Amino acid sequence: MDSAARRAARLADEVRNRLLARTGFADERGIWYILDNAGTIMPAMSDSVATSLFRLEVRLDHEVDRAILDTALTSTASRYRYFDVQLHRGFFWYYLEPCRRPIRSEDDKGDPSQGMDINRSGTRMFRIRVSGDRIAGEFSHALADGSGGVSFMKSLVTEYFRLRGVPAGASLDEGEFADIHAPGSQIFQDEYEDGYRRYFPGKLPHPKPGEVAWHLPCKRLPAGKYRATGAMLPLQAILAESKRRGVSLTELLAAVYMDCLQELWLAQPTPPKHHLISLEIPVNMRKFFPSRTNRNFSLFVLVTQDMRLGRRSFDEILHRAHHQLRMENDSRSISMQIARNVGSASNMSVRLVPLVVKDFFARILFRVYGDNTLSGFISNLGQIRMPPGPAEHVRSWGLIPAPSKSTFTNASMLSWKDNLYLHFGSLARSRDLERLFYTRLRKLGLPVRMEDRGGEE
Amino acid sequence: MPYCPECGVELEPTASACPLCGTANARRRAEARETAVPQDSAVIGTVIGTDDECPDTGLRIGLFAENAGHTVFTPKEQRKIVWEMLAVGTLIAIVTLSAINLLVSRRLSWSFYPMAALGLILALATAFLMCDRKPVLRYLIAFLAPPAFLLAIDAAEGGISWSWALAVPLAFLTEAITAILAFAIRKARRKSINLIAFVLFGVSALCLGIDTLTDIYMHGAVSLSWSPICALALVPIAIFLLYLHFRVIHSTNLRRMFKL
Repeated sequence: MDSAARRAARLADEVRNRLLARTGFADERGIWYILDNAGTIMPAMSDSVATSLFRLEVRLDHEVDRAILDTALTSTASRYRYFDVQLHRGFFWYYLEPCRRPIRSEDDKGDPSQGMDINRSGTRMFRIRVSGDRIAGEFSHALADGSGGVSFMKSLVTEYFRLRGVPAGASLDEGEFADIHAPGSQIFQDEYEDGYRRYFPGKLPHPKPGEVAWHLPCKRLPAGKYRATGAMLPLQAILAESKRRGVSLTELLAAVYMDCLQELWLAQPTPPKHHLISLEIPVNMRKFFPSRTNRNFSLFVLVTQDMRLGRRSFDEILHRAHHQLRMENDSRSISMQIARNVGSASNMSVRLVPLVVKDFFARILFRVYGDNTLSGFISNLGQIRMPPGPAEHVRSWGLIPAPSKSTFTNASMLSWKDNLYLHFGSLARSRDLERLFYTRLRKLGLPVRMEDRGGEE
Repeated sequence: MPYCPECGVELEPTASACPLCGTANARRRAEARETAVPQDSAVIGTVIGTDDECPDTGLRIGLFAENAGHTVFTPKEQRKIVWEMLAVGTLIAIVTLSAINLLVSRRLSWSFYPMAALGLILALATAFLMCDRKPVLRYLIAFLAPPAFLLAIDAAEGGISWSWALAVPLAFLTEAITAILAFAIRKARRKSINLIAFVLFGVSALCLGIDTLTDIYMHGAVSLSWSPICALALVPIAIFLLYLHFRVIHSTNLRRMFKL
């Protein structure tokens, strides 16, 4: 094929994928949206315990003014109208319709990420909760990933401070703050596109199915309880330690997590049936495939260790984590996942199956090929940047992962100014994993300051 | 900055205990003691305890419980106490009834009926109070207890006749339809008039089943008479209610609903 034909074929693919990536549609009743490729499975997997809600927290240097926050929330939700939606069941797929109830912040009572079922009629797909100086946004993964949630929270906080008379001090919607949208600014269709479909690579080999992994055996907390444990580390200290060991920050913490899982595996009274420990680490696809979407656009790499080979030292674990992540963390390897996920969803025989049947099989397939292959989960949202005006008044950020009934205890981290904020969310009664993790960090010589969450359990 | 001597992590000054191991924040306790107003003699403290089965890793693992100086029963203990009281009460009643029956009639006759009823109550109480963590056993006992009761009543009359051919199948049929209804109601995403429709379907199925089983028992062949009339009356209403539920009450654009 000559170069002109190749260019034409590429253009045709791009146009086709751009059409596929559309998630927003309009008819005589208004605009409505379909879920992105990752979010489409979430309603089937969500219930009142595994709510699919991840939580972003912002602590200010003063008690939150609820009236101003509600005004900011109304205008921010109007700007992010593709977030201000509720779930509906179609015959073949779920879809999202605008939520007609006015949006207000809620009191932050009870445990994080609990007490909200997105499948219940009329439930907004996110909520904003306030307690003292803390604003918390809980977003369903059916709606967005961490990057999308951060975009919303940054916009909300910036607008909040603008209403308090603190200007942003920098241009929004462009440059460094391109993901902060001022109310009334233009909404681009790209903001709610399905990035997976846009960059669907066509026919590619699918990744090999994962092996069943070991899960931490412990009792679950009672329904409605979800424990969050947080700590702060000086960013420079942990970056220096990572650099000294020749790895990235994510690789270092992934290795610490794997070391803890290894310790707990070996501490079992009898050798567990499943010998594989496996840690899932999400990768932000936006760094490979440019997209300004605020919907889900992440995929995953796995770091694994076969315990039949015996105990590994921390350095060995770190070495393996470093190389496994480097090997998998490239656009071609990750494209296989897109090919599998989007290819399956686009298959006519799947599309023609009624939703009620799809839900049933989705739960089984997700459990077998998804949750069952993981022992744990750790994500790094990276450095949070805000305009200088509001940044001066924000003390800290935090990210608590969504509850999971299979891995029970998961970790998330992000950086704000000079600190790394690392949180665990757990449905398990036991705190062994969290305790091992933070004490391991202490053994690496890193100062760890635990967050006081005021007795939340 | 206070720190936890067990874990080596720093604690915030406001933290009452280490969130990892529960060790009290010594500095905060000392400050609290200095500023505390004398309390009465009630014991208030933080107790670390666990009912977890995690292996012994040498780490102290725990939940946190406030012991306010009086005994607090866990829900499991409360259920056990209620079951024991029920069991002892039932046993006393059974012994009393059989003693009276033996005294008066010199044999066990009428007392068998209330004893069977008490046995049914005890079996159901055992299922729902003591089998909290064993759902399979719980539902198995609840499913088998009523038919067993009917068999016992029949046996008390001198041999099993009507129970095996009629009562037990009817009991199983009713239980099965009830279980299906409960499952459907629980799984319904939106609960409104669709629940009435489910109940009407269930009643229709039950009527058809009763008619079938009584026909087989009495005539040896199935010749449905009254049950189709019930079903023809109820099923169209149920279908209409479902139509209202899905299409009208939660009305939506067909294009959205059927988007491929």
